[in-house]
Amino acid sequence: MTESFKLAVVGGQFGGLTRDLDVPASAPALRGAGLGTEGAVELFGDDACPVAVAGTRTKFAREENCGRCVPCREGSKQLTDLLREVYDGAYRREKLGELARVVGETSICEFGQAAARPVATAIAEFDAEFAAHADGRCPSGACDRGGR
Amino acid sequence: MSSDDPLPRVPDVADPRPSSPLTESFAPGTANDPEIRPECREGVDANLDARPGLVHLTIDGEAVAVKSGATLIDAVETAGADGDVPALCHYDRGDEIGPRSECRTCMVETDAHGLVPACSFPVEEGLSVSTDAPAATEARDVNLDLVLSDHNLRCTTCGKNGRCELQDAAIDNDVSHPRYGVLDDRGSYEPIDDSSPFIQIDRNKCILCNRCVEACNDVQVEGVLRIEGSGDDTRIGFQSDAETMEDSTCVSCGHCATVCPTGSLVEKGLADASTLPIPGFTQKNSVGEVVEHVPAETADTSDAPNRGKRRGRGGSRDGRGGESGENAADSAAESAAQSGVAGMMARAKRRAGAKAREAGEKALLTAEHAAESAAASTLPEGVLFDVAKRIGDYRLGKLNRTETTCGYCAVGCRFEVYSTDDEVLGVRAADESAAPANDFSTCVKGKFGYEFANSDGRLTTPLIRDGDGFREASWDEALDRVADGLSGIIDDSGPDAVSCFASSKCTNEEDYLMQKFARQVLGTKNIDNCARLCHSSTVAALLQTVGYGAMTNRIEDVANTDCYLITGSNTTESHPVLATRIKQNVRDGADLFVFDPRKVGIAEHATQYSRVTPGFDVAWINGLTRYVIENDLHDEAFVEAHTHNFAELAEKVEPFTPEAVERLAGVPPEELARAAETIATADTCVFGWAMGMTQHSHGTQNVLALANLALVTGHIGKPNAGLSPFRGHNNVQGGGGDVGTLPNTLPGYQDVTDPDVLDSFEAAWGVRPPDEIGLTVPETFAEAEKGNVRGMYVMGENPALSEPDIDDAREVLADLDFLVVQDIFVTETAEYADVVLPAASFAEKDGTFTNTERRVQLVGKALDAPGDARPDWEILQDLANRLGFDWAYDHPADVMDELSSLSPIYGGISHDRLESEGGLQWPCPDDDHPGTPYLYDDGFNFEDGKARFVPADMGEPGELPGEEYPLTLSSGRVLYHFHTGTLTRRVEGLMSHVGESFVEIHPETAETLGVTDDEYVQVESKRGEIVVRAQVTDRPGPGVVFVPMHFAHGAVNALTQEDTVDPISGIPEYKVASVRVTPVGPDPDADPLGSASGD
Repeated sequence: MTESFKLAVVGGQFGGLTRDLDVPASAPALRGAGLGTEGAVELFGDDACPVAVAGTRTKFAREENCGRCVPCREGSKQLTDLLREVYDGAYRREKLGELARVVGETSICEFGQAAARPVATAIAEFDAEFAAHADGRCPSGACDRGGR
Repeated sequence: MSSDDPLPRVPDVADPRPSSPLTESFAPGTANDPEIRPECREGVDANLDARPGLVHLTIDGEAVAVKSGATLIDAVETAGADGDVPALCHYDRGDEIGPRSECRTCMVETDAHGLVPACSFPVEEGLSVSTDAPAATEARDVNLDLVLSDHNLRCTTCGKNGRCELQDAAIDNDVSHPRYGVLDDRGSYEPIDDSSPFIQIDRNKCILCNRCVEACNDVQVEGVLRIEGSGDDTRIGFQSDAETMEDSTCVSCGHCATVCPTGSLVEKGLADASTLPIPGFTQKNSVGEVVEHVPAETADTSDAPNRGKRRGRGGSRDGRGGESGENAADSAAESAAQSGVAGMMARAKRRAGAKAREAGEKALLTAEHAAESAAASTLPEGVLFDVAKRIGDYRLGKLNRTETTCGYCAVGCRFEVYSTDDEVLGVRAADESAAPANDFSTCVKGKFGYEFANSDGRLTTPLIRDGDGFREASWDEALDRVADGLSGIIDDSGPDAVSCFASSKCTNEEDYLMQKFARQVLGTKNIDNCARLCHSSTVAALLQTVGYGAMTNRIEDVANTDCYLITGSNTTESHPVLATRIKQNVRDGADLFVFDPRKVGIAEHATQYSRVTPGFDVAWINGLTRYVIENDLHDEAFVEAHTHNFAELAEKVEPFTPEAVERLAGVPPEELARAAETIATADTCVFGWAMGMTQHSHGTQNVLALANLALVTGHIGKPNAGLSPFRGHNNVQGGGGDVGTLPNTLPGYQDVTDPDVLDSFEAAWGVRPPDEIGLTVPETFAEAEKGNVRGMYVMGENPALSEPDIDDAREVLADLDFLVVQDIFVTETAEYADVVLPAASFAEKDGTFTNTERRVQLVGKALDAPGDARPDWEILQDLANRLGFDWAYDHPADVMDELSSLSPIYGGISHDRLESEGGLQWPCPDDDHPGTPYLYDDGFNFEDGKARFVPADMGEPGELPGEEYPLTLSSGRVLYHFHTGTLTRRVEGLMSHVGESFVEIHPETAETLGVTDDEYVQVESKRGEIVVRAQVTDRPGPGVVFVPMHFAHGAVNALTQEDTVDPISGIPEYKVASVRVTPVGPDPDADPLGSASGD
């Protein structure tokens, strides 16, 4: 089955990005693998770009958060901006990781705690693709086509 | 179901409520939030003792113990590790605000739960907490930078510079370059909302901590602010659909500005106090677009302020769109009745100023923006913080900060006044321990009502009558003139031809000296004060029944009782901070019964509001007592052990059956029953009242009836219960009675006819005080009319406006042989004076005030008195010495020492003790006595320790509505003004809230009369007529109209009766008069607005 997809998002809108679905379908195991526990498993083929997938979801968090706590409200804004900067040639891996960690650990509710998961898992799993974007290249071609 | 609907679907909903509904009516702004961890709330509860025991935990390895129910932030503070834990949204005072736990700059690591927010996480036994764990430090630093990323970092132009919690946090945590930058995209700035007269909102500096929203909803219980929007669009908005502060329902209590951690909500007076002192470097110029405030007219800018003009609040706002604020002010001033050279020059000055400003403004704006962006691009933010903070500290250091007691009402709020030597800039909370009545609360007058001190109208030099006007004089000349004038009358007609009026606004020390001046220096028995016109019936009734003429309990008890009966008190407007405590307690479950002819603000919060017929209060109060006795709900053991005359009471109330009460007072039987049952069965109950009980021809009977009810139900002599007259003036308790400013008592309520008392005063003063009871204020006016009183010395009073039937009172004043007025303005009374002496306001002197709960508190001097004006005690001392006595007080503290040596209830009170221990509640007989929080826990103030039931007789008002005058007029206060408005009519912001007199008319009555909302109407009684704007509202009942008491134009006391007084207390019947109302029409014959009534 691993042959037939490039990446999966496990756990809905704010699920974790993974190449490998060889994880027992239990909450502790999914959590241990950095994946979400609710909702669907979405599969993406070779034409999907993990940077774009993470970016879309982070932008969704930025637009749809309730606005109450700082890490979620401001954090999702800065995460989105940092991802934009990747396209502009600056991939700040440490900064992204740090921010995703704080948003995930200190947001008040599940929304913010989960909102950082796509970015956090994407940079862990697809580091090279982020670096490629900073060099002006989308390996999957999705970003050049303007698609997601 | 029709077959067109084959599939299951969401049912039709009439109103799907896709967003939160907007409402004009009150709804707590955070009510839709789930209660966050109720146990956390208790963590900051003052009543921690309710859950005894300590919890032990370690903070960074250090063992600490805190009270159970506390949160981790308390433990972190206890360990002294809070310097690195910003906790920006956490407010550390009171238990109404937070924990909101939204900024997440207080994250700490725990062994058991990982990262947790310290501000809201409850302490646990044995928990190990680390503030410096890498994850915790990282979380706090990142979140602090995230807060800064949405903050407009313009410290040098910010009103909170030097006292900003975000600035402090950034400095404490060595923020140099915030990771995510700061908000400096000029295009995304929100305009400053400067539309409120008192509070500036700069949302660009808002960190959305929600403190202001909770202050507004949970502390003030006013329901104006809310958080609106979501995500990036989250902002502080209004619960009504208002867009600006001025259009909102804001009452300017100032709590929001008090608790705001940043420069988002700033007291306007302080907006430029700590900024870089370069012209143009202002918050307004920095941000750019501003929604400006349109100023109202005041007593200083117009002879008839705001009359005939439309402005503000609910009225047309056209002035904003077309005309600029400047032009509006100009044209307003032009059309005002300001006349002569002064008027012309004032207008010219304003115009010149406006032109110069216009030209200068553009240049400055450019300079400021250039400097700002240069600074932003060259300096790291950390340096900016340090520079700005140093400027702020320096400039704040140049300001005076004076802890003092409020000079408006008698709640006795304490706070710190920020001032230069000659101007009050703002008021901020004092230490919690220094402010027992209010903590960090204020009302609009206490927080913002100080412009009067700098008014151009202030008296700065003594004045002596010169024909129809006055000429300026030296102190020597003026005081000589006073000494000659008074002694001349005394030589001719004896000392009792002179009367002195003390003031409930002056300090205890000054009023003590005024009565000493009358009794020792002049030898007259005639000394009284304006408390005669407010709570004298309360004092008379309480002296007869329980023994002391004062509130039996603490404000703390009023805040914590289980049940209230409030009647004749417009608490939210007259005693706002006290009302705040009541509203909070009712919200938390206490029962509140309000009986009042008018549906006043506090009634909106009531469990039950009953509208009563004005003037028939004894009926329903006796009816309650009857119901309690009839149904065996009375406290039999208490009555048996602690009272006399129960049988007489039972007999007297017998006729007041529920049916009789309904017929007489209009209270339905079921409302009477519910109130009686709840009050009688409550564990504790506070009976609160004010002028609506006392200012009647049978005011004393009203209060007797209330006292009887309190005694029958046993709600007295214990915590959280008692008889609570809400007193009016800042020092009406002390200066209006305690210190002997009454014709029948010497200081400490000692009988003037008691030879032993007179002996002790003779020993101290060298002169025996007159042993007869002197004249009350109304008696003085009556005797003056007959020519028996020929001279008056009026200190800080305005009888020309406060006396009933002022036309008559003014004639009396005009006919006096000699009138001295000592005040801070040329009041309506001073216009009749022979000599006017300029005095210092409460912000300009030291001394003490005694608040409504008998608490004596220090007053501090924040400003210098203007010109040659002097504190009243110094003036009295000079006069006494001119008249052959040898007074030698160096400071008001010396006066207090003399007062306490002569008055047993003040025996243990001295300025030194007040300084070190805070306010003391009398009786405080000696230096070791801690003061008396509530009275009568070990018996009543009679020889045998028992209270007396004094059955109350039903009376009728002096005037009943008839064919000619079919409406009943009632008078009272509004939130934004005080007494005769001498002070508040000079404060622009207060005038912009309520700028002129008005009459409230019930819609049914208005329809009958053909009156429409907002038109001018004539209100006429047998005694006079006024023209005021009509407000059609159902606050008063049908057939009842209401006019406020604060205005010189449309003065209600042109209508009230002077002949109907309470026979026991001498209080005039301000609360009932018969009137008729007629519309003035669009084209009145003469201009009815500019002419002051009564001239």
